[in-house]
Amino acid sequence: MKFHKNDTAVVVIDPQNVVLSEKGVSWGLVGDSVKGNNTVENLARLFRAAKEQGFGSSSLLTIFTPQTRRGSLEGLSRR
Amino acid sequence: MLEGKEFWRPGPLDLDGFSGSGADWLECYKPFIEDGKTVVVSPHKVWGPQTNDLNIFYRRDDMPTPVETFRHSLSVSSLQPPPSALVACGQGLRQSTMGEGHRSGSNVGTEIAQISVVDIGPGRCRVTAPDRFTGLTGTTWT
Repeated sequence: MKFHKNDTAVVVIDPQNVVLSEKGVSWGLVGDSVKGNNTVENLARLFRAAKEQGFGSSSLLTIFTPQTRRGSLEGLSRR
Repeated sequence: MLEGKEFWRPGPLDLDGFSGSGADWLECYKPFIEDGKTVVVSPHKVWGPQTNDLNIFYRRDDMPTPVETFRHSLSVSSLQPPPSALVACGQGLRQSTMGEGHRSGSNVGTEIAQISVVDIGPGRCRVTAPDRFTGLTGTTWT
């Protein structure tokens, strides 16, 4: 597989406390695998490697708001 | 996840209590993300990038090869031009959805690899989703 830094972005999705921190509400679901796979450290390695190699980096931020809940997700979950 | 108020914020423009909250970055990632060079796209409303501005950055920056990591469901077919390669991995919890999303990528000639060392997910999903995804990918990076 070939790709070049000039036309490649590293897209990191949801690197947020809610899933990767022991204080996050999802920890009960994913905590064992986060620890078992060393995810936090490995993702940091990926960030560091991308920056050092000059890859563009987009971090994708997820924030659910009350509006989101009422406007879309709650509706989806009811179907 | 909805009942648990994942990523919950009191309002779309309200930053009260944001620092250190569930929606905030992990502290150890802030030097990378907040370096002034990293694009933070708009919040997505559901799971995929269809409801945020990620695709705009791909097109505007002529960046057809997204290297994606961690928990996503990107509809590759929505990108123009289709990316030639996509590196993907994700949370087992939603990796089934993700796999379906990326199946469309393989249908438009996108080469897919996965980075297994950042996969997370609960129990059985953690085991089955990567295996399933491996069936759609050409490369697994560890």
